[in-house]
Amino acid sequence: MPGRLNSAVALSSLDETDLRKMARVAHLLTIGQPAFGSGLRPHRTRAGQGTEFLDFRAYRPGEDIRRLDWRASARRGRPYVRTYHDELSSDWQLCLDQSASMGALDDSKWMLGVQLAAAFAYMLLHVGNRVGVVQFSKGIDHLCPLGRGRLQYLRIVEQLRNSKTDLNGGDSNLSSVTPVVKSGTHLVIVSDFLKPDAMREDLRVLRSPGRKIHAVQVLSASETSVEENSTGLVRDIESGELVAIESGAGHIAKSALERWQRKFKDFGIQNSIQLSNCSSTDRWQDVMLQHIAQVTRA
Amino acid sequence: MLSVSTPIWLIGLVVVPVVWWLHRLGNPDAVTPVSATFLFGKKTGESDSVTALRQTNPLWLLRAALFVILVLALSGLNLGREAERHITVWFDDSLSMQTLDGGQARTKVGAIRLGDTIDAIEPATILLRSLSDHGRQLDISSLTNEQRTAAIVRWSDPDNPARPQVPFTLPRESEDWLVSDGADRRINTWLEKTSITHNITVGTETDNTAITAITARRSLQLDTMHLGSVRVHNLGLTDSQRSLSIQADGKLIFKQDMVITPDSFEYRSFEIPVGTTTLFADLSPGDALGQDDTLGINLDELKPAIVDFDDRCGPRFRDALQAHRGLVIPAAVDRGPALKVRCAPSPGSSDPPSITVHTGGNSRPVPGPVRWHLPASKRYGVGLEHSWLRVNTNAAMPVSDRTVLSSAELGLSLIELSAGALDIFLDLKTAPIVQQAGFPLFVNTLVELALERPVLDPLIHQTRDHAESRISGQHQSTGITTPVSTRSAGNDMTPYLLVMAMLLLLADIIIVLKVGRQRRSTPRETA
Repeated sequence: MPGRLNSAVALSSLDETDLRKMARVAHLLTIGQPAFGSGLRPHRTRAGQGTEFLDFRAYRPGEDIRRLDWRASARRGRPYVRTYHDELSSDWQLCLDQSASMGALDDSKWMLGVQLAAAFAYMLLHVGNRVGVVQFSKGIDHLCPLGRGRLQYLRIVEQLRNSKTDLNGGDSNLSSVTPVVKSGTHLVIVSDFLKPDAMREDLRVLRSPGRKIHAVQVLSASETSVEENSTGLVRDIESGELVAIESGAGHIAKSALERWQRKFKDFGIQNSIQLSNCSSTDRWQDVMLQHIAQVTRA
Repeated sequence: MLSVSTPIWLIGLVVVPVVWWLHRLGNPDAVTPVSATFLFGKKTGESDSVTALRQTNPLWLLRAALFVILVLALSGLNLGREAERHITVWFDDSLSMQTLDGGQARTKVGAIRLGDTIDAIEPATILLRSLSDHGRQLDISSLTNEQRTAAIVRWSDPDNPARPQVPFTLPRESEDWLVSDGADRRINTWLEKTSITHNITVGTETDNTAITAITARRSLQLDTMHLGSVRVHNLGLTDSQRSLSIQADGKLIFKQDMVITPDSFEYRSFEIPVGTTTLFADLSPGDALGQDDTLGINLDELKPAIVDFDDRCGPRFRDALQAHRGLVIPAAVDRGPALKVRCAPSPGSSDPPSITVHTGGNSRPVPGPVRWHLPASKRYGVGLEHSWLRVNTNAAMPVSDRTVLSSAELGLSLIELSAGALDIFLDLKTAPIVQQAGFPLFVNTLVELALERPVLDPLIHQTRDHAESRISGQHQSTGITTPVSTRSAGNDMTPYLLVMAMLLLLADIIIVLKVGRQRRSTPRETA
C-alpha cells in the first residue's frame, strides 16, 4: 500500500512544536483578529452564530429569514438582514482531494496535501473551532465528522494516515462534499484543481453567504513533464482520455498551465476565495505561512 | 532443396502474430500518463489513438524473426536431400516378451509396431539384434511388413528365451532402436544412459505368477517316500490366487490352493513315492505368461545306482557298498550297471564309470602323510591317516595330472581318476582302513568320484530366475512408443540457425540496453 505508507511518512514528519508555533497565528485564518486574551489558549465567550452587530446588507435568497431586520427592510423598501461579527468558534470542514492525480504519478503532492490538511486541522482546532475532514475523489471517500479538541485532531490524523490515493481512474468531484457541508460551515480545500474549469462550478455550488472558503492548490513539477522530443500519446490518469502529442509538448503544456492558473486566480479574487498555490516540493510550514499572509493581505 | 525432419514443430509459427500483438499492446513508451491532458492540447479521436498505439516497438520484427528461426531449428531444417538411414533394432527376446497381451505375444506386437514404424520412414537398412545374444542378428531390410513380422517371431526363439544382456557399446554407424516390454530393470537403467533414439515399448499385462523352483531329495526317515518342495512367486501387482498341482509320473500326488501377495513367494512341501521318474508342478488357472506356470524334474538320480561288484575286491568293500543308500548290488546284473567295480592285477582299460582296484603284487604300508589332489569341496570330509593305508607298489603309478590321492614320500599315486574311470592302488582287503568307521564314507567318496555326481544325498532341483517372469514395465509407461525422429544426418541447418538466433538475441539485448541508457541520460522537460 504505497499511498497509505506515504501518508504515514508525511504525517510522521509533522512536528508538533512547529504546529504549536503555527497555531499562534491560526486566528488569522478565522476572523482576522487576535483570539487570545490574557493566556495562550483562545476563549469562547459566545456560542452559535454571533450576536455582535456589524452592519446591514441586502437579503440573498436562501438565507435564514430570522436574520431579516424588519425595521431596516421597511425603511429601505427591500429586505435587509443584519450581519454580525464572526464568532471565535465556528465550524470548518477540510476537503482533501484524494483523486489519482494527487498521488499516482508523484507522491509528493499527496504527502504535502496530507500534511496541510493535518496542519489546518491542528490550527483550527487549537483556536477552539469544530473541525471535520472529508476526503473526496469522484465521491466522498472518507469522512471525519465535525469535532473539537485534541481527540478530534487524533481522529483526523488517524483517518489521514489510513488514506491513499487511487492509482488509476476516478475523478475529482468537489461538489460531492456538498451534503456533508452544513450551512455556516467554512471550507478549506486542498487539491490540485486540475480540471479544465479548475472546479469553478463546484466552488460556485459550495459558495454561500457568510462562508469562508480557503483553497490551497498543490501542483508538482510532473504535471507538464514528458520526454523531450517524444511523440505518442498522453493519457489522463483519472479519465483515461488520450491526447496525441508531438515534439515540444512539454513547453506547450507549461504555457497552458500558466494561463489556466491566472484564470483560476482571477476567479478566486472575484469570488472571495482565499486561494494560494504551492509546489509539492515546498515545506508545509512555508505553504501555511504563505497562505496566512495572503489571507491577511486580503 | 529444403526439408524439415519434424514438421510438427512448424505449428509454432502460428504464434508469430501473437508476438506482433504483444508488442502492439504492450509498448509502455507509447502512452505517457499525466495528471491532466487538457494542458497538452485537444483530445484525440479513437482512430488517432489507435494509429499512435500502432506505432509500436519495431523490435517486434527482430523478435518475431528470432522466434521463427528457433521454430525452424526445432523442426530440423535440412538443406539438400535426406540422408539414408541405417537402423539397428535391439529386440528384447526375454521370457516376459512371450506374455500374451490381448491374445498376442508381446514379441509379435513389438514386431508389428516395429514394422509399421519402419514402413513410415523407409530406412536403407534395418538390422535386428538379440538383446540376450548380441551376436544373433536378422536383416529385415528387404522384407515386406507381413514377412517381417513372421520372421521376427520365428527369430525370437520363443522356446528358448534368455535373460537380456545390456550391450556395452552401440554401433556408431547406425541409429539404435529398442523393442522391449520394459520389464527388465537392467534394460531400463541402460536405456536412461544410452543413445537409443527410438523406443517401442509393448505390453499392458502386469500380473504373473510363476513356479520358480522345484526340488526333490531322499527322506531321512522314510524309505518309501522322497521329499519335494516347490516355490511359487507372485511377480504381479495384485494378489494372486492359484491352485498348485504336483504330478508324479502323471499321477496327481498333491494339490493346494494358494493366495500370494504381490512381490512375494511361498514354498509348498510334499512327499513323492519312491520310484517316481518324473515330477511335474503346474499352476492353474493360467495367466498371461504360461511358460513359467509349469516346471518339472527327472528323479532318476534319486533311484539307487546298480553296481556290478567283483567279489575279489574284498568283503569289506562289498559291505560298504551294500550299506550305501544310493547303491544296490543285485545278485545278477541283467541290465547295464551304473557302476562297475573290478579287481585287476595291473592298470587296464574299463568302460566308465568304473572303479578298478589293482590287487597284484605285494602291498606295503604308506610311510608318510597322504595328499588329496582334489578341491576341498570334493573330499567329503574324509580324513585319511597314512597308517591305515597299504599300497600296491607294483601297480602304483607315478604322480600325474590324473592323481587323486598320492604319497609324498613314495612319489606314487594311490588313486587316479580319468574320465569316470577310477584306479585304486590301495589294499582294500587287509589294510587297517577297512576296519575304520569312516571306511563306508571313503567308499562313497570313491563312488561319487567315479559317477561324478552326489550319490549319498542327491538334491535334484530345477530353478528359474524370478526376474525373468516379471512382466510389468518397471518405469516406462507400457504400450508407449516414443516419437520417431526423422532427422537426417546430412546438411542439418540447426547449428547455423542457432547461431543466427544467438546473434539476433544479442542484437536485441544491445538495442534494449542502448535505448534504456539514452532514456536515462535524457532530462525530462518540466513545467
